[in-house]
Formats: sequence, C-alpha cells, structure tokens
Amino acid sequence: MSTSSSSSKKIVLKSADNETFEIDEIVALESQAIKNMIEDECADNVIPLGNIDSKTLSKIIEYCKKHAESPKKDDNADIDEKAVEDLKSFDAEFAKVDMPLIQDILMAANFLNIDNLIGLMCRTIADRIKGKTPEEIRKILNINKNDLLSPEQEAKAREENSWAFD
Amino acid sequence: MPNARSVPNIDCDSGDTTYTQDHYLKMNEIKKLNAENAFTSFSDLPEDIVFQILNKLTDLKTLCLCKHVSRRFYHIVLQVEAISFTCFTNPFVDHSYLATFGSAIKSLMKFERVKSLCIQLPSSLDKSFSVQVEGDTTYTQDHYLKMNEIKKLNAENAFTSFSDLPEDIVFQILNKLTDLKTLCLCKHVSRRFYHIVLQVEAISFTCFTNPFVDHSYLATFGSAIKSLMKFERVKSLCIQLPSSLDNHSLCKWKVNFKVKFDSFIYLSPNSVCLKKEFKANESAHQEGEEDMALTLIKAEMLACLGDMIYMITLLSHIIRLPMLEEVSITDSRKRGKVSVSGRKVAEVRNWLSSPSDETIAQKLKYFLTARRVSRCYVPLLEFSGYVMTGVKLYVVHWNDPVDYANVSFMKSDNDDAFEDKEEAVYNEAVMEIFKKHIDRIVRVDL
Repeated sequence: MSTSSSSSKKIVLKSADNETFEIDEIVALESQAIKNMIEDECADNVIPLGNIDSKTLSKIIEYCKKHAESPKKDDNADIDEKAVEDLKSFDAEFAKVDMPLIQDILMAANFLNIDNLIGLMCRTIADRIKGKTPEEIRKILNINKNDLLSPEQEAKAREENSWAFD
Repeated sequence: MPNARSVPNIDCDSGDTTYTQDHYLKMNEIKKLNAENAFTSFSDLPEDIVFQILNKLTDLKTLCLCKHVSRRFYHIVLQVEAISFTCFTNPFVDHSYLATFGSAIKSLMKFERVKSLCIQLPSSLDKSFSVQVEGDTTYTQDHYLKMNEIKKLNAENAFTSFSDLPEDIVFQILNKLTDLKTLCLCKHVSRRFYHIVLQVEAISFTCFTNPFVDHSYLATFGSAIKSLMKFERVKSLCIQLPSSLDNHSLCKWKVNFKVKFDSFIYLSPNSVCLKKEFKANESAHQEGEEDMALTLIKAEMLACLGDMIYMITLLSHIIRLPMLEEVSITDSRKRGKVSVSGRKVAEVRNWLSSPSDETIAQKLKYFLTARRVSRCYVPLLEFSGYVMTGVKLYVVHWNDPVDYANVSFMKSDNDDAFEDKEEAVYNEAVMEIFKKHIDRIVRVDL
C-alpha cells in the first residue's frame, strides 16, 4: 500500500488556522470519524477541522501515515516482527513531546476517533504521572488551584491514604 | 483652529468631562455637527457606543483608571462585560505583592456586569502553557483570549489544557496507572481526579514486606487494603505478596476452589528442562531416595501452604469488592497463587463473606484440620517436550475421595485467566502424573 502512488484518492483537511493538508485517503481512514464521513459520502471537497490547529494536525497526519503504511495484524498471518518493532519505536519517539501538545493531540484524536492514538497518548500521560506526588502531578498537568480538594476532603483523603505518603 | 488648551470645555453639569486633543466643540452647538471645524466630541457619542468602546478595553487597570476620567465614564465603565487582568508578580509566591493584588481583585469585583474574565498570573514554570478552567476564567502565559471568542479555539495561542479533556479520556489515562499507590496519590491531585480515579477498573498492588510475618507492617498494610476497598468499580485485581520461601526451589503451588476449597497442589522438581537439552546422567537416582526427598521437602510445602493461608485471608476481605471479575494474589517469586475469576468470584465471595455461623477464622480452621494429604515421587517425568527430574508432588484436599479430574493447576473453569507459559508446563506435569503415575500416589499423615 504505497502512499506515494499518485493515482490514489486524496483527501484534503483544513486546520483551524486555515492550513490545508492533502493526504492519501488510506491515511485519512485511520480516523474513524473521517472514515464515516467518507462512507457517508459527505467528504467530497475539503474537510474543515475547526478545532484542530495546523501544528497538531500535522503531528496527527504523521502518526496516521506511519500507521497506515505499517502492515496490519489481520492483513497477514505472519507479521513482520521487525515492522512491529519499528512501529513501537515510532510510537515511543512520537510521544516525546511536551504536555500541552500531548493534550492537543489527545483532544484532536478523540474528535477524529483514532483509537490507537488515544491509547498511546493516554499511556504517555499515565507514564508521566506514575510514581509522582500530587503536587508534581498538578504541575505536570497544570491543574488549576481552583480544582483542589476542599480542606475537609483533603484531610479525609489523607487519612485514608496515609500509607501512600510514606 | 482653536487651541484645546486655551479653551477647555468642561461641562460639569452634564456629568461629563471631555478631553479633545486639537479641537473643542461648544456645547450648545453640539447637535448640529459642523463638518469642517467641529468633530464629534466624545460626549456626543451615544451611551451604547461609549459602552462598546469601553467594553473593548478589557484591561482591568485601564478600566479602573477610566473610572476616574469622568462621571459618564464612571457609570458606563462599570457596565463592561469583558475584563482581562495581567498580573506580573505572583502574589502567592511574593507575599509583598499580596496587598496590591488584593486591592486589584477588590476593584475587579466592582464590575458586577462582567460576563467574561481573563486573568493572567505569572507561571511558576518557565514553560509556555495555558489553562482554561471550567466556568470561564482563563490563565494564559503569553496571551489572553477574549472570552467571547474562546469557543473558537485560537490555533496559535490556546493549547488544550488538561481540564478540556473529556471525562472518558481522563478515565482512560487513570485506568492505565493500575498501581494502587499511584492511584491513591492521584486522589489528592484535584477534585476531578478524585472522582474519576475512583472509577478505575484495574488495580495492581505489590507489597514488599509480608504483613503476616513482620507485624510492624500490619498497620500500613491495613491502611493500604482499606484504601483499596474504596475503589468499588475495580474489575481486575492483582496483588503480590513476598514469598516466605527464600531459596532457589523450583516448586509451584496452586489452590483450586470448588465453592469451598477443593485442593492444594504442590509440585517441586529438582530440575526442569527441554527434552532436547536433557542429559541422562542427571536423572541418576537410587532406590530409597524418594521417602527422603519427600520428607525433606515437607517443610517447604508447609511454608507454601502457609503463604496460601495468608492469601486466602486477604482474599476473604478483598473479594467483597462488588464489581470484581478476576482477582489474583501471587507471591513475589510467582511460586503460587490464589486466583478466582468469572462466576467463581460470586461463589467464593458468598462462601467467604457469608454472615453464616462460620467466621473466617472457623472457615480457615476447617481448612487446616479437615485436610487429607497425598504425595508421590516421580524420579523422571517426561511430557510434551519437557523433562522434569526428582519430582515431588503433594496434594492437600478437602473432599474425599479425591477427584483427580478436578485436581489440577488449571482445570477449574476459566481460572486460567492469569496463566503463563511456565505455569502451563507445571500444569502438564501434574496432569501427566495423574495419568501415568497414579499408582505412586499414597495417602500420608502430616
């Protein structure tokens, strides 16, 4: 499934900041939402993505391209182990971005319904907050002070979880 | 042209003070606009236009200063609906700024008509980010957004903040943590975390000190289990306790439930290897060795039985978690496990936690006293590509006669949910003994 083939059908995505991205249909199909749009034949021209900026969208396209090119598990019984490893290291490398972008990607992936990418981003955030103190987690995720537990709740939770603070 | 400075136009009666740079208008001519000499003065502008102008200022400091411009300003400025406030010193860090900050917030509170509010505080971090909290207060590092435009995400300035992420996504993140300690700490992060973290469905807990052996650890352990019990939505639970056996034994054990306990199986070979790697001389074995081997191994078997009792005690408590679908308690060396899954969970729960005449202690006593023990020794066991030497097997069972079809490492329903490859090999070994060496199995008293 070559993506460079000029004969393959193209889909144009337009970001919130009006940048357009022409991609192969096979790449766009990684998104369940776009797939549905194509199937319902309401994706004739340009698909406007008014809530995704170009930076986020280009990352998402990078991800979809790689995953569309990689052989699917159900395609072939004997999966190329090297391809699986390759995809794994691509994912690991892909996730090495700062938290705001991760959250942008996650939000957009949720909108576009790209399950693998949602999973990857969730896993990335989970890994980053594992073994951290509540204060550190607040900092990592930039949790607002307005959302902290009330002093009573905090005291109660502390009592319940005293062991976890050792 | 008249000079504004020489002829100031201050009309205090109309409640307005007008400043013009290059011109002034006589107040009595104000309604006839003179196209050449007289520009529209600010006071000509209808109130709604002045409002629109002031409403575009947004900056709190400017708005506050505007209150001092004129009476008209004073009244209209208080109607503004959008305010932004940029604070360059963090009052929560630099307390000398606290009084100024408080005063600023107090003056902000006078703007009772404000619908949208952007406040920018300095970040404690040196990175660029923005948070949009629920409701409508926005904190941005480098920019602020007018609130009436906030729903159209500005692609360049606004990042998705964690609070934008929908609940199901936050759930997916927290559900991947699994580690009990991390989950408990997450409860303290924020109110949102607190509620979502309690929904997680998979938890693992690794305990490095055996609370049943080192009693000083019992309080901490109890506190951990108590906090575990708050996670009422948990479906899958893995707990690991330290093993009481601190040697290099290759033994494995497993308990089978058949509503109540059915059997405890302990298998301990001297060696396990693939048939193709097996060297015959390793199997050199002398008659009379087997009783010795079985007796020597008895202490080890009893230690494993002890581990199992700790695990059952723990199980009897945690099995009350209402949504539980699979639970596995293992030791740190993966020698043995107590695991229950599927519909067995409900059966075992009913038995262990039923408020019947039997207490847990009595149930466990039953468990210790009503046992029957069988054992056997197989010097060389070959099965599906593997060779085990010096195999010692103990079967402790609570039902008589022993139903060997049921006594296995995995035969019981879908108990194999946690099965790994090593376990499968041991399981085959047990099956092989029951099939080919049943004559070697003898009842013993312990």
